[in-house]
Formats: sequence, structure tokens, C-alpha cells
Amino acid sequence: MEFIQKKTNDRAAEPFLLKAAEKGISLVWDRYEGQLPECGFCESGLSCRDCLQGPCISHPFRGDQSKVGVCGKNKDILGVHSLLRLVVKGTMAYLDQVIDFAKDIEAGEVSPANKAQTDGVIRHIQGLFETVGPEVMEAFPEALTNRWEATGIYPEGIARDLFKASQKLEGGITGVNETLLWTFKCSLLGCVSQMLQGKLKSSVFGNAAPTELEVNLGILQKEVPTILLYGHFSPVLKQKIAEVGEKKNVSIMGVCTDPLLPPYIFAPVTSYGSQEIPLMTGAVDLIVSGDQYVNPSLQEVAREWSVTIVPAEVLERGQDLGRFAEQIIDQAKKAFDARSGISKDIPDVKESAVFGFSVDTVDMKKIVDAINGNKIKGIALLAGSNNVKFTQDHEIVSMAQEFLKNDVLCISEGEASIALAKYGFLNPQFEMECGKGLSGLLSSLGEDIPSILDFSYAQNGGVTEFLLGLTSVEKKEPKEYPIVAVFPEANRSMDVTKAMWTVAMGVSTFFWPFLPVTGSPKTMEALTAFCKETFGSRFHVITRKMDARTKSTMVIKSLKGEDELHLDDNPWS
Amino acid sequence: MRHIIIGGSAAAISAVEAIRSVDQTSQIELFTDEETPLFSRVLLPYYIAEELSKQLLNFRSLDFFDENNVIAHLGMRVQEISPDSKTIRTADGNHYEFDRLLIATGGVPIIPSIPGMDKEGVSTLKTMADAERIYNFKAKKAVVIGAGSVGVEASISLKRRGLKVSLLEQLGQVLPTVFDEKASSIIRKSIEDRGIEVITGEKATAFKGNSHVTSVITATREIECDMVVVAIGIRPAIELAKNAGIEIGSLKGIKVNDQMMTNMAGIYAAGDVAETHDIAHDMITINAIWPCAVEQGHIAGLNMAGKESRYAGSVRMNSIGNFIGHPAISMGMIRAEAEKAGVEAGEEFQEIKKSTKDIYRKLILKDGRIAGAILVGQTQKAGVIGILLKKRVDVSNYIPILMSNSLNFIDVLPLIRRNADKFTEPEYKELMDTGL
Amino acid sequence: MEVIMVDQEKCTGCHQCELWCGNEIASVSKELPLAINEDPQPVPRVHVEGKRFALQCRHCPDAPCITACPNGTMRRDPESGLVFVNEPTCIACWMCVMVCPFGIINPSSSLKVAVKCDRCRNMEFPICVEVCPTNALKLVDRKEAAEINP
Repeated sequence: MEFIQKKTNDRAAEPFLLKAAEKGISLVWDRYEGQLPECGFCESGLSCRDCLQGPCISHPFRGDQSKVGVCGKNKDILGVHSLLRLVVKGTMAYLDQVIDFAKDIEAGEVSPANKAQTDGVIRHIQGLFETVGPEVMEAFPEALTNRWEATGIYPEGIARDLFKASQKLEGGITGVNETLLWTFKCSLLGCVSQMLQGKLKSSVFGNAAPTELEVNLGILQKEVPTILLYGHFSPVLKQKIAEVGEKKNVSIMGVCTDPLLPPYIFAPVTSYGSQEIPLMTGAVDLIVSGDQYVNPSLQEVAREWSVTIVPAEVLERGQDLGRFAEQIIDQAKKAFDARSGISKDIPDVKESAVFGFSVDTVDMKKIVDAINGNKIKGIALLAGSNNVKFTQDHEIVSMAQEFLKNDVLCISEGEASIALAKYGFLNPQFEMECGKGLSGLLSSLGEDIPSILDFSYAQNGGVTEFLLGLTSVEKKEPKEYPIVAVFPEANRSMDVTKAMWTVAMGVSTFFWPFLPVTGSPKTMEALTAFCKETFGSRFHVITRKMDARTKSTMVIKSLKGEDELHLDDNPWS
Repeated sequence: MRHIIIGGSAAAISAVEAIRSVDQTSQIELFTDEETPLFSRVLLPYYIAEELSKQLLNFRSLDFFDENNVIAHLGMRVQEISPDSKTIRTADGNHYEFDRLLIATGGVPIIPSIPGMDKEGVSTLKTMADAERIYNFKAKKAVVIGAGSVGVEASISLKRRGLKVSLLEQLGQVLPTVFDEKASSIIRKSIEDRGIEVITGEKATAFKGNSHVTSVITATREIECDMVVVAIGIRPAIELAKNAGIEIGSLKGIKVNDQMMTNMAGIYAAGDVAETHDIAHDMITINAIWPCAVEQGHIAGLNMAGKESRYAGSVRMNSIGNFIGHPAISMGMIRAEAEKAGVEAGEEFQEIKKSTKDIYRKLILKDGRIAGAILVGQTQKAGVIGILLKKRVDVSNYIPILMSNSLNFIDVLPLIRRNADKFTEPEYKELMDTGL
Repeated sequence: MEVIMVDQEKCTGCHQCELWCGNEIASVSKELPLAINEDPQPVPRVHVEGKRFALQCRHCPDAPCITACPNGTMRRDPESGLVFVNEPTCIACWMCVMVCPFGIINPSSSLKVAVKCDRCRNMEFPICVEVCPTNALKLVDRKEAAEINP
């Protein structure tokens, strides 16, 4: 059992931890300690609650009859199912985001920038039930699509990739490797969903140019009514809120929500791990919350600081989003007046950051040349968010620093970008220590290029956009480049899904905390040897405790082709 | 108070500890004819099999006597006890006075009157000297006579040393006083799977050879060999007691009451030499096994030191642990033989058996109380059955639970609670308040 | 002397005590992902019995296992009063298994010794008590426990 000594690296958030303790308010760190030790069976993937004959475990230390679930799922199946369950949920999350969005567009809530393109994308989305259009799939290098067809995991739409894959959990006689392939198949649907969402955003709101904005608690303003958008919900609703907010002089910012939705910016006030903190500044009057990424604990903190919570994903949302947005703004203004007596404690900590690069604004050829010319050692795709099991932001920041020093180009997306943004990695003016080759490359990419490039708002969504852009230069597939994906603080099922599709695309992935599959020898082997064979990449499940520095060294060595931990022969690294 | 203890094995040492737990000052003098002190006879087969060095045969550290302030006379035989003058005479002619005397002389191996018994290469297995002799024999083929615990373990030890071994047993099965036919056949197979030849139902009639044994003769065959281990049983070593006029029982062991005292005040007996009340059979028996000797020595010691204690009675129990590779435990009665002495009219016996691929379990109940149990293959919870046997609990309603392979203590806790007056020790009382 | 008591109403039979005893005490690697796959399989000293009761060695004041042990392997630590197996001298005869009224001694044929709880005698605090999620397991002074049940 470890009790993380330091809770957070974020000096804006840190003072509030003490304040919360004094007021007796429980934060995510307190609840985590209360949960310890977390169930060792579940952590190892050796449990199942899929039916009412359970809950079952495979007991590693008792005799034969306790090693297999009632229905017969043995430790290997239990392990791979633990993974499948996460990916099914993750893919559903990506699907929810895109389908939700499409429905609001169809309802005519907003006039798209490019109508014809929008209609095309919506048609694709509507068709997702039984197919993934060739126009979407043609973005992938042929080598990949051929391989997926050959292994049977080519995305075919919701019916097969999601529903059929999920039925593996219901029973049946399927080996570990095949179940794992179904899991990859499901994750590819998630990938496609994120791509379609990216395309839809672009066609509806227009492409984003790299945009500078400020992040962290210091950006909160006490003189105006302030609304924070939490988590994911309809981009159309967010736009409407921003529209009305602008008119009525209400500040709209975000937590765990896309920063860019042209022409609007939802500046990230903090990252996932400290999402309870902004309310404690007293400067937030109202929050609009989605479901994904939102902690139910916000209620308790909101109560303490009289913050109104408006859930956006409700049964009775009503059709008229404009009206809903107006109501929200009115509520916020009223709340602001009512809360004028509450003291505001806004730390003076903020940072500039540039978000929104894409293949249109970054010269991918220069990057390929830099790789081929050995100017940079490789590329690290940074994803994931915060996880309370680590000191908040510490892993990603430390690893990013090491990568930059060692001439590894870093591309980030989503919550990972926000975490990095707080520390200046996305700030073009901030001189991060970069290796010579990397510095050269970054300077060559443009005038105001930060040390790490955020690809969140991109046609093809995040890391996928980057990979597709990279591979289109020489028509080579990702596994032929020294490129890895790193999730220093993974958290959600969406992260698992993303990591899986990245591996399916031939990019080896490092993932912390380790996947709940360690109780299954066959799953561990499948994620190493079988994946290596099938995709040319591995999903690294690393159980050994190591500090961030050691992790970076390991990743950098793997980029150079050095397998220091003998990760290839030793599944339990 | 001057305590003298004759003997140096389980009962004797246990008595020392019991006396010292109550009385740190009185003198204790101990006489044993073994030169090697404090070794466990139970482990001699392991020594022969070269699995334990001599040091590891000890069951107490070598400074036991110093630590417990005992004057130990090793390798000193006691020749005579004089109850009237309360003295003993040792082989070197010395006399020692006592206030309390414990006779813990154990048993001596039965020497069959077989021609050739005195040839070289023929030995019993009881003393350290025996063990060393067998250990040092340069032999290729051994015959072990008697398939009791000692014989079976000796045969396996010798096989492990690389000898060819034949095990000869007069009765129809191996371990006839420990296991029933079914359990015995499972164990016999284990023994034979190791390449040991097992011959039952045949008696050795002669050992042939010149000065050194070369074969064993039975009614039907001649078995060639160059070593013979005779392990046909032990009889209590009662000569000293008998000559002193101490009462000997019908089983040829020293008679004691439930305070382990003989018919002579101040003189106690404990261990393999004593006859005690057997709980399972409900009659007087000699249970010559280690735990009984320890218990009896303990009770004797307490009484000698003036702390009145009563012996609840002995239970025969044997465990073949990992030695054969097939764990097996047996306690109390082996068969529900109505002809066995001690059965009164109207007493009802039940024998319940269960046999699956690798597991055999048998319970013998007498009037609803456990009188015996045999477990082969799955022995983990044997002690739960054992304690119910010892405390004479009526288990009539618990038979399916007791026979189940998943028997555990909690299942019988309600029964124990119902018999709380028998389970007075703190470890039981602590668990009784659990709301079950 | 302190013993571990189980509050039967709080024990949910979740097996965490067994799992962590197996990992922290019984295993060689002491790390769960590795311990799970160790060979020989680690043997926990505490066992969830029946439906919901975690049972371990009661450290009986008059221990039958010590009486039965033929070579002094089963011992009592004079300071703490705890009964423990001195594994290097254990010959796996399992006489102790035969006499333990609670059946908590594990005859391990893979390890070739008797495996028994020693109440974490070399640790600061017993692991099973530490990890129990419902606080069903508690360290209680033996005298106190006796007073609870007169």
C-alpha cells in the first residue's frame, strides 16, 4: 500500500488542500486514502460481476475450486475481460460524444460553416450502426487497413465492433488472443468516432488555428459572473452558452472540456485531478456539468461555496438549446449577485499556452526529415489525464522534461495537454530545455512554436491526427518510425480505448497505472508477444515501481530500439 | 524437593518443563541411557534417509539442561529403584535420593526369537546407536520386518539412500494398527510406487547367512539381502518398575492414576511405559506416540511439583505427513468392531466412509460421539475432528459437515457453543462471542 | 498478549486478508502482480472460513501443536507469547495439523512445511488487521477478550 506523500505538483491547487482539510471537506485524495487498500483481485483483473451467480474471483492463493468463476471463466479470461470491459465503456464514451453532437446539428441548432461537408460527416455518423465508411478508413495507411482485415479487426460499425465485442463478456468459448482481438476491434471504432467528431467540429465550427490562451486558477475573474463548463456535453450547447455569455458579459471557462470551439475559447481553469478546487476559490458562480470526467463530489464542494450546479445531460433538456443557454446565463448572473458577500481567493498562478495545432499548421515533412536525419530520437505521443495514485501532474511533467532534453518530439492532446500547459510546456515564450536536434526542429516549424504541440482540436482528433499526418508523408506506417505513446497518468476507460487503438496502429504504448490484467499470464503474454507479432507494437504493462525519471529513460531507450528491461521476454516487467 | 527423572525423551523433558513452570528452585536430576541427549526418536528415519543431520534431530536446544537447571546424567543406566528408601542405584554403583520420581523409560523394541537374529547387518531401530549403525551399514538390499510406522518410514528412508528394499509384514496390510484396509491400500500403493516391494501376510522365520545376514526366510520365499531392520513393535520398559514392586497393568505397562502416579506415593510414570485411559476406545491402553508422551510428562511434572492436575486421557493419533507424499491421519478407533472390549450392550457404532479419486475419509461414531477418524489425501482440518473426539462431543447432527472436504472450524462452532462447558480454554471462549 | 478477533457481523468474506497475507507474508516477491504468479503458490496464513469468518492461529496459551511437534519446530516466543513455526527444522510430519482444534495449520506439500500464522511477529502490525476493509479484524488484548465473554 502506498500513501502518496505529495498530493499535487500544481502550486495553484496546493494551498486549497489544507483549506479543505480545515473545513472538513473531502477531496479526491482523502477518499482515495479511505479506499485503501483497494481490492487486490480487481486490481489484478481477477474478478467479474457480469452475472448474478457471482461476484466471482480467481483466488491466486487458494486451491483449485476457487480459481475459476462459477460459469467457468478462468484467470486468463477474467483478465482479458477486465480489459474488454474498459474498452467497451471507452468506445461508448467516444461514440456518445460524436452521436450527441451529430443529433444537435441535425436538429438545426446551429448553422455549420461548411454545410456540404457537415452533411457528409453526419451521414457517416448515422451509418455507424452497420458500417464505417470507406471515406473515413481511407485516411489510414493501406498497410494498417490490410493488416486489420487480415486479423479480422477491421472496423465494421457499432453492431459488430461494440455490441458483438461486448457479448464476449456474456460467455462463450473464446480464447484469450481472440478476445483481445475483439477488444482491439472495439477500440478502433472508438478511434473512428473521435475522428468523426474532429471532422464534424471542423465542418461546423471551422478549422482551428493554433490559439494562445491562459490556463490555471489565476485566470478566474472575481468582478464578473463566472460559469465553468465541466466535462463533456454537446458542443452546440457550449457554443450557445458562450454566445449568450459574451453578450451578457459573463465569463465562461472550462474544466475537462475542449478549450477550443471556434470562435470561442473555454480556458482550462485546472486539470482533472484538482477539479474540486476551482469551486473553493469562491469565484465560480455556476457550473454546467456533463457526465464524462465529472466528479459527483462537486456537489459537496458546491454546497459549501453556494455554487449552482446545472447538469446538462438530463432527461428533460428540452429541444431549444438557445433557451437553455439563456436560462443558464440568467441563473449565473443572479448567483453572482447573491454571492457577492462570499470571499474570493484566487491564487495568482496562471500560464500561457498555445492549443490547436494540426497537420495543416505543422509541417509533417520537416518532422519526418528530422527523424530520418537523426536530428530527433523519436516522437512521444502524450495522453491520459490525472490519476490520484500519482502526485498530480508529476509523472507527465517529469517525463516531458526528460523527453525534451533527449531530443524526443512531444505531441499531446486532451487532459494531458492541459496538465502540461499549466507548467509552460505549451507556452512559446517559455524556454524549456530541449536537446539541440529538437530545438532545431521546433524553430524550423514556425515562429511561435511551444516545446510541446497540442493536437486536441484536429480533424482526426488528437494523436490519430498526428499519426495519420506523419504516415502520409512517406506513405510508411507508424511502426516504421521511432514513435511511442505514453499515458503517464491514465484514468478513464477512454484512455484504455485510446491506448489500445494506438497499439493497433503499430505504436507501442506505455501506460500507467498498469492495466488490470496482471493476474492473467496469457493476457500479459498476448499484450507483448502476440501484439508484437500482429501489429509490430506492444502494450507495456509495467508493474515494477519506478520513478518518473526511470520511466523516461526506459521509454527513450525503447525509442532507440534498446530493450533495457527485456520487456520483450518478460511480461511482468 | 528433589526430583529424579529416569528417561530423557518426550515425557521426561516435558516433565522437566512442567516442574520448572511451577518451581524454579527444586533440584531435578535426570538419568538417561542414551549418550546423545535431546534427540527425537520420531526423526530417526529422516536421519537414516540423510535428510536431517544429527543436530537437526534435536527437539530442544543443547543447553536445555543448563537453562532449566537440570543435572543430567547421560549414558547412565539406572539399575534399581528402592521405593522404601526412596533411592535409585545407577550402573556405576552410585545411589541418589528422591522425593519424587518419574519413570519415563519408554519402550524397548520387541526382539523376535528368530534364528539368525544376532547376525551382523540385523538391527532394530529405536536408539541413536541403532540409527547410526543402520546409517553406516554399507548395504545394497534391505528387508524391513514389520510395516508399522517405524517399519514403513525405515523402508522409505533406506530406499532414499539408494538401497533396494522389501517390506515384510506378518498381517494382511501395512500399518495394521493405524489404518483400515482401504486407507492402508492407498498407502501401500504409494509405497510400492516408490519401488519398494511390499509383502504382507508372511512372517519371517529365519535369517540366513554366515556371520553376516544374506537372506530372510518366510513360509513361501527367500529374500536376499544384506541388511535387516526389525521393527515389529515395542513393549514397555517395565523392568525397573516391576523389580521395585510397582504395579504393572494387564497390558504390561505401568499402571497410573489420572495424576500419572503409580501405586506408590511419589512415584510417577509417563510416556510409552505407562498405561492410560484412552478416550476414543474408552479403555486402558498404551498409546505410545509422541504427543501423548508429552502430555503425560506434563501432567506428571505438574503433580510432582505440587500443582494438582488431572489427565483427561490419551488418544492414539498418527500422522504420515509429507514423508510418503500422500498425507494421511488416523486417530482413535480404526474399525467399528463390536467385539472390541469396552463395548457395553446397547452401544451403537456407526461407520461413515467417503471415497473419491484421491481422498478417503472415515468417521467412526460410538453413540453419536467420534471414536475414530481416518483421513487420507485431504487432512487439513483433521484437528477439528480431533478436538471433538477429545472433548467427547455428541456430533450426531453434524455428520455431513464432518465428512465434507470443505469442513472448517466455523461450521462446528455452534456445536462447540452448545458444549461450552467442555470448551473452557480462552481460545475457544474468545471465538464463541461471534454472533453465529 | 494480543490476539486477532473477528467481528462476524463486519466480515464480508471479501478475501482481502488472505490476498494480502499471501502477498506480504507468504510470497517471495512481495509484489502482487508477481506474487500471483509465483511457483510454488504462496500460502496465506489466514483463511476465510465458511461464509464469512477470517480465521487464523489463536496462539493458544496451552498449544496442542507445540505438544505434538516431535522436534521442537513449533515454538513459543517467550516475549510475545506467540506460537510460530521454525520453518528450517520443520519436517512436514504434520502432527501439528492433526491436533490443531481450529484447523488453521496448513500442510503445504509444495513448501514441505507446516504453514501457520505467527501474527506477523516480525512486523509492526498484523497485515490482515491492517487491510481489512470493514475493520472486522481487530487486535485485542487477550485479557480483555476474556472479560467480554465471562
